[in-house]
This record gives sequence, structure tokens and C-alpha cells, in this order.
Amino acid sequence: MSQTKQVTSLNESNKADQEIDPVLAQLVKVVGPDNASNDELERIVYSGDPSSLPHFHYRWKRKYLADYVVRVEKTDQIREIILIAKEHKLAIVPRGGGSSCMGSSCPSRGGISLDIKRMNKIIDINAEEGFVRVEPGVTFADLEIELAKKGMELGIYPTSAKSAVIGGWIACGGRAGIGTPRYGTLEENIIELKVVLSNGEIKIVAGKEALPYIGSFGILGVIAEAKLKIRKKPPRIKPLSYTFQRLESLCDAFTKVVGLSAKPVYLKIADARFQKYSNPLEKGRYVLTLAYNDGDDIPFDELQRIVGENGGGMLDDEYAENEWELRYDCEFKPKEYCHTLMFQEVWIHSDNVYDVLEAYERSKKTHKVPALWFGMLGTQSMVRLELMAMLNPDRYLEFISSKGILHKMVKRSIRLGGGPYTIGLQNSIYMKKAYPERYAAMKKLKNELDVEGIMNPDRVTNCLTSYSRINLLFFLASGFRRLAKYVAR
Amino acid sequence: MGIGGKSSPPILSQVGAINVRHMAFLKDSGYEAVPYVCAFCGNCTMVCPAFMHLRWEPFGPRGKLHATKEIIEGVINIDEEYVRRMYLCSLCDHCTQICTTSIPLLEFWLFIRKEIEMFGLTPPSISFISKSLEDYGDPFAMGPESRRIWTRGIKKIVEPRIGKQAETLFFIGCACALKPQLHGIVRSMIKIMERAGIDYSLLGENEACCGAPLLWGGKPAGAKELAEQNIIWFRKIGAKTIVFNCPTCLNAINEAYAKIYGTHAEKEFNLLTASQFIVHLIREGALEFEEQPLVTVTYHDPCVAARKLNVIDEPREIIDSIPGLYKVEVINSGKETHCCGSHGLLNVIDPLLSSKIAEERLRQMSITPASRIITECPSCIQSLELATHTMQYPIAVEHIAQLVADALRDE
Repeated sequence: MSQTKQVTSLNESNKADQEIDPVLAQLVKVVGPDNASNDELERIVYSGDPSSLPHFHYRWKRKYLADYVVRVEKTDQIREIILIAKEHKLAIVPRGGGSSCMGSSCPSRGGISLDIKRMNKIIDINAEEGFVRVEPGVTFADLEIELAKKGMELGIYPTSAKSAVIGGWIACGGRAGIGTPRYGTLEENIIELKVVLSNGEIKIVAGKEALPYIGSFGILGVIAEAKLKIRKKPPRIKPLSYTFQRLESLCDAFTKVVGLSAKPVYLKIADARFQKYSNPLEKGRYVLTLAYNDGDDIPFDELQRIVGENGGGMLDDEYAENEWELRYDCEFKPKEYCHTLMFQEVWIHSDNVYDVLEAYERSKKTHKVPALWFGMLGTQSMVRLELMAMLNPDRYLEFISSKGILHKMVKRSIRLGGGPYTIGLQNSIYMKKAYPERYAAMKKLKNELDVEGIMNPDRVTNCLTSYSRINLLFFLASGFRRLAKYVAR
Repeated sequence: MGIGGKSSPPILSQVGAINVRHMAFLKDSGYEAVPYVCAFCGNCTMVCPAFMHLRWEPFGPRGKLHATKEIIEGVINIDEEYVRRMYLCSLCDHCTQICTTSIPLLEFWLFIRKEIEMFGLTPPSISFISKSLEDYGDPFAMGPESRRIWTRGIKKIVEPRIGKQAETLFFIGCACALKPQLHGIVRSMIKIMERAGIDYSLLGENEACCGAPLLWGGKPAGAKELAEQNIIWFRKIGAKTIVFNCPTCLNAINEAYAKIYGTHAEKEFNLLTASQFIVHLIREGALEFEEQPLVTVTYHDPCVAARKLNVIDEPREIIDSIPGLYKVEVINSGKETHCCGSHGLLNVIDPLLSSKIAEERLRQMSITPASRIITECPSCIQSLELATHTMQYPIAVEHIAQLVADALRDE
């Protein structure tokens, strides 16, 4: 690790801080002066993520700035830092690429932002036995390069692969990504994990024992190492795109394509408004894009039949190739055109996609909300739908309406047996309602493993506000809206 | 994602719609909305050379935008610490390349430096360079008369070329003209042009800096002035084609031309990098090569050449044209190239960080079987050569012109 003059001088200026801040002095003792800071700018940057919400919204969090930022390089350092946090009753907020939304790595009670990006070693690649052992800060790009040298690939990636790190994706659940419909979710691809618990214990977990840590958002411990399945890299990917006029036709085709035995590595659906900002549609109002491994049997005839039955049409190869090229970038493209891109992610069965999207499109018209959406197949039947609204925070009512509609969509998804996708800080209010069994199991584990409640508090098993309160708020807002409309009439 | 001519995100034209407070910084600049266009996805952070070495997020582009946003909103103040962080950037443009929301980040960083200059907070080392450019016309305080030192030993050939009316002009650039370590590049270009029978001209002491260091130092007006001085001389000698040793010089003059005259330089001049020029000569059969003794080389794409000028295929075509040369690609090449660490005055503001970045790039190349690194940017050559010493990894680093000149068949 480079020790530049500048960083040294930064920490020289922190020397005075260390004298008056015993916690910082302790942290420095573990990771060295270059890797711990209480500098305000550092704390600001390490306390944010892509939830590009205006201040009046996200600063409701109790203490949204971390008190310290610490960068760890070794498992033992994680352990030492956790013990210091425990001693001073400080929260630990693990942070990878900071690319997850919903405030997953944002503090809510200050504490220590624990940056794992320096733990970026690829420990072992075993092509024969088909596994790789990595530290949590390894980026998908670096891993891809190293695996490709041996003709292998991980095969599953988040759409944020350009900035995400492996540990971060594991902590966020890794359910819907590129490759997951074909190779299974992260859960099915993790062989074992090394985790550091809040009591300082370093534990290796595998199989069922590893499940609570996948999608735990760091509330049980910090992931320090992962052993993952790898597979032969396919020679090429074949993308295909189809367009539809009606939402019903798109969703019907989507459900039928999901039911085919040949599984794509990527299956995306989106409306024309979403496409407008990345790969505009010249005809049709909706798009369905699939990508298959070229070595797989691609069901061209069945696809044609399904699309034909639903009045759809095939888009040219160039369009489909563009769709594949944009797989990592399309999600944030609308942000280029608005101040705030508000979004909510729901996780529902493919059979229920129409139900949610139809309701969302209806609300878009009735509430005049600048809404757009896209979805991608996660597992062989579950879908991640990303419902978005392009907003200007100056228009407070539009902001609240959009927020209310997104809340309604999550409730609808829960009624349909789904729930929110990323939990993080913002969606923890839905946890108990959407995933009661998981909630109960996690709550039990949290109480056992993190007695002081220092590990990434206020998410998954606990939250700053309650579902009932939020529900009541939106119910009242909706009532006032109706009343205002009635009076105006 | 397209870079050349990439249009700004539409939100930049809607600044009025955004509730931005405490706008003394970036006020009415048209850039005040940039931090708000950022989706904070973090893609830029992972490719930023400064972040890769310092590993603190505030040093990456996302962190810098975040800090700027906080300044605009009055949460933190512009101070020396902020300035220092903004200058820990090699302006390599990789962040623009990968930005999900197409923010013209390079343009933004340059504008921030201009604002910093207006606030009187430019770091002293950068101000020293700027003063040297204003006083001497070069960043090394050597003066115009020193611009002929490279001619020693070949005066008879090149002196008659200085100020001569010709359609082809060879623009040498400050680093190549004034740094003895780089004189070999100039001599190689001279050899190539002589061998190809080109009627060329040189500006000698009338050549001024291209202006890039002033632009990087937050003084775009001064940069424009220097570029204009050069353009006036291009016209005086009747040049139609101008060949540059250094892609940064080409880019600076090209962009200044557009700003001064409101039209593309290509309407008046054919501005070529060394490799673009040489590849023409090879295609026309003007150069013949000796068989080389099975040399394996790798090509390092300079940031400006690859990302701004899209000069990626030409140097590779040249290498492939020389018999006996074998080319291997390093990871992160073409538009994905990694910075050598010396661009954007990073080597002035933080030589140690600059050197660490160069070492990392050299490390990437050291895992190829290449015995020679070829590039076409004098700054890249200097920083990579320095890295060969600091890393004690002896490998030759050459300009594409040197590779070609050395391989020319004897007359």
C-alpha cells in the first residue's frame, strides 16, 4: 500500500486528533495512521451510497455520518476493530464498493465505517475442482481477469459489477444478477464463508450454516473470505431482443420464456421510457432482452412462437448487442436526466410481474408521476423489478406521491408472496411482513451473536421507524390528496 | 460509451430547476449541477489511479464529487485540503469513460481547478509551473533559446528546416525539446521524415508550449494564448499537416483551436500523432524495415491518445509492419488503458504517488513476455522509465518513433 507524503501529512494533522480522541488512537494502533481517520470529508464520503435522495429525505437517519473510517487489510484487523467498537459501544458499518442502494452501508448511529476494499487478494483459483477463494474486497472486474486466464469465470455478477466488491454482494444477498437465472443465486454458488462475529470469533461456515450470512447486510458479522464455485467461460454470449405493444403481452411472453427449459444468463424487461435513456426503442412500448451462452441450446423456435403469439416482434442484432453491452450501465442511465432518481426494488414470482407492473403503470397515470421501470430474472422463477421515478426534489408533492406509490407497490408485492429486494436501511420496515420466517431466524441469531447490537444496526431485524407508522403516513397523505381533489372539484 | 464529442448530460442545462444553496463556488458556471447528475454508483472509483493507490474513497472521482456537493451546499468549506485532493488526479479521463451518467468529468475537473485558481488556492508547485510558462513559454524555465539544444550533432540537417515554408510541420513539444532524456524521440522522428523524403519544417525557438500545463493549472485563458501563438506560426510557415511527438500537445492545440475559432482545427490543419503520421508513410511504402531479431514488445496506450484521440490501431499496425517484432497486449489497453501517473501535473503535485501509479502500470506490463515497452507519449516514457529504476525491473521503454527509426533499413 502506498504511503504518500500527502496521506502522511493528512495523518500528521490527525496526530493532534489522536491525542484528544482515544478511540482514533486505538484504531490507528490496529491499522496504522494511513488507514484510520475521523476527518469530516472522509466521514461524509464513506457515509453515502447511490441512494441519491435529497437531504430532507435521507437525513432523517439518526446519525447519518460515521464517526470514524477504518480500512482493514487482514481478518485479524477486522476482529481488533470490532473489539474496539464493542468496548466503546460504537456501531460497525461494513462497506465494500458502496454501490448497493437503500442505505446498505450508510450509518444510522454514527460509529465506524469499516472499509474492506483493501482486502482484495485472490487467494486461490482451482480450475480442476472448480472453486476460487477470495478476500471480500476483490472486485468483479479483477476476478474476471484472473479467472479468464484459466479459461474460467464466476458466471454470476451483480449489475453493479463495475464498482461492487464480492463481500458486498454476498452481504446484500446476491439473488438477482447477470448469470443467476442460469447458474443460480450466490447462495447456490457459495461453498464456504469466513466471518468475523461481533464477539471477535472468526468462524468458517458452509452449507446451511452459511445461509444467514448471505443477505445479512452485515448485521451478524463481517465477511472476511469466500470460497465460490467457478465454471468454464463460454466462448460467446448470444443476446436477443423483442418488442411488444402491450404490457399484458410482454408479461405473458416473459412468463412463458421463464418457463422454458433453456435458461438464459440474462433476461430483462423494460418500458420504453426506461429504454429511452440507454437504448431507445424505435417501435413498440416494451422490450424483452435475453442472453444465452452460445454453447447452450438456444430455443429460437420456441422464442419466435411465444413472441408471435403475443404480437411481439424481433429487434435487430445490433439492438440486442447494445442491450447486452449496457447490462451494467442501463440502470443508472435515467439519472443523467434528472436530479433525483428514486427507486424501489421488489422481488416477486414471475407469474405476478403483470400484476405489479399494471398497478404501477396505473398509478403513474393517476398520480402523474414520471415513472419508469425495468426488471430482470433472478432465479429460475423470481424476478427483481426496479420501479423508478425521475424527480426534482423542489416538487415536494411529486416526491411524496412517488414515495407513496412505491410503498404501495411493495405492499402489493408482499400480498403476492414477494417483498422488497434490497433490504438495507430503508427497506427494513418491510422485513417482518415480507419475510417473517427469515426475520424471526435472523432476529434470533442477532440476539445470540450481537448482544450489544453494534453490527450494522437498524437494518433487517430492527429499524428506525415502523411499518405501521410509514403506512399511516402514506394513508394520511393519500387521504389529503383525495380530499384536496374533491375540494378543488 | 462515446468520449469524443460526447454531449453533456441534459440535466446540466436545467441548472435553474435545482435548488442549490451557497453557490459561491461554481456560481453561474453551468457546472454547478454536475455533482447532482452523479448517480454515486462508484464505477469511477474503481478505475481511478489515485484511488487505486491511496484507497481512500474521497480521492476517487465519486468522493471528489461528493465533497464538491458538500461545498456547494455549504456543509464544508473550500480549503487547502479540498484543493490538495482535487489535484490528486492525473486527469487520465478513465472516469469519464466509465461514468454511467455520462458526466464530462475531465471537463469538470479542469473547471474546478480554474475555480480554485480564482479563489487563489492553487498549490504553489503548480503556480511555479504556470509562472514559468508565462515567463519563459515552457514549464522548465529554460526559455526559447534552449529549444535548439536537441539539434547538437545534426545541426546541418535540421537548422535549414527551422522556419522553412513547408506543408508538413514537426511540432516537437517542450518535454522533447528541452529534456535530454527525450531527445532521442525527436532525432528518431527527424530520421523517419528524412528517410521518407518529407519536406518538413520546424519552429525552433518560435515554438511555444501547447498550453496543456496551464489548462491543468486552472489557467485556461493562458493556455489558449499559448496555443494561439503556435497556430499563428503554423499559418506563417504554410503548414497543412502538423505532426506531434506528444498526443497531449495535439489535443491541447486541437481543443484550443475549437475554442478560439469556434470550428474544428481539421478544417484548416491535419493534426497527426506520431503513429498516425508514421502509419501513413508505411502504407505509402515510404519506409522499409530490417528484419528484427524476434523482439517481443507491448504497447502502452497513452490516456489522451486512446481516450481522447482514439489513436489505438495505428501504433499496433506499425508494430505489425516491422518484420521480426512480436506484439503482446497488456491488460487494460486501448480505451481501458491505465494511466502512467504523470499526466495532469500529478507528477508535480505528488511525485511519489505519480511514481507508484507508474510502478503499478509497469507491474501489469512485467507479467507479459515483452522485453520492450512502446508508447507514444513522452510523459509516459519518463514515468515508466523511472518506474523501471524504482522497481529494479530493467525493461526498455521507447517511443513508437524510436522503434521505427531503429528498424529502418540502411540506405
